[in-house]
Amino acid sequence: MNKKARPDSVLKTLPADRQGAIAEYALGHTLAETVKWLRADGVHTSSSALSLFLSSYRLSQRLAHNESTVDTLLAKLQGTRPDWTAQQLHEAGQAFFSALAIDAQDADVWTATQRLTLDRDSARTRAEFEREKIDLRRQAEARSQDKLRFEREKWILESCKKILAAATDAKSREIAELNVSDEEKIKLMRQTWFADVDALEKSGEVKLPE
Amino acid sequence: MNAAQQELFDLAILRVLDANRSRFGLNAEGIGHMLIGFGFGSAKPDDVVDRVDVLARKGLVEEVLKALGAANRAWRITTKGIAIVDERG
Repeated sequence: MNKKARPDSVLKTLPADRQGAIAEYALGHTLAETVKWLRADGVHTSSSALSLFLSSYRLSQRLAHNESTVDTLLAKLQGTRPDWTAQQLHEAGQAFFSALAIDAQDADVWTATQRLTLDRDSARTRAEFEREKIDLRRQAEARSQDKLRFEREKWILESCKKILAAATDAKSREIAELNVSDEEKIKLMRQTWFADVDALEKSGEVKLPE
Repeated sequence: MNAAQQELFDLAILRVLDANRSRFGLNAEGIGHMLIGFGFGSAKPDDVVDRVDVLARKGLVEEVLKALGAANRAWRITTKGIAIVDERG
């Protein structure tokens, strides 16, 4: 196609390699940065003009690449269908080109969709992470409750054993028959039969229920 | 779409076709997708065909390989269309 850009279409009139360099630079920079970079090099343009140029340049590059792909396909087709006329090959080429144009766009849509999916997944991951943290906290709390329950059961069992032993023990009978208050008797009984529990509690191995 | 938006839409179609320097034309579906890069969301093929037909009547675009049938219609920009794009920057 015979194309001629107006002289005031600054970017379009630059040599092809310069246009390519601008597109390359713009990949890693903002429009404003690229405009500034161009200005430093004596090329004055606006962000909107640059944006249009980049869209047009990138699309033309992609379509040129598609044309090259079609040419390769047509060369192969010509090898298998030597009887086809130039017109038939061109029609096939047009059909390939249209299909590629749609495919390339679908690939872009797919990429954008993937990006959205990733973003969504990231958001989901964050949510799941928070949920997991809450679950872990709940599990730790449940474990702590289980431990407390176990300690209480252990304490009751130990207590029952000691009460049973005390009931048949001479020392216990002796304390029970002392002429002191019940409070004093309990204190003595505790010193006799629960000395090890006190020691255990002090060691921190067992936490007695309050 | 009001008249101003219609004009911008037509110009975007011309810009898409202007970017195609290959010897092949672009079909409505392809043009519709490619409009995304020129300030418009993806357009339906029927909407594109409606406007491309108008642009063709004005001599700004031309249909290629009509023999391929209605389902495979494709267009390319004309010299007059290129002039419009260059004029609008």
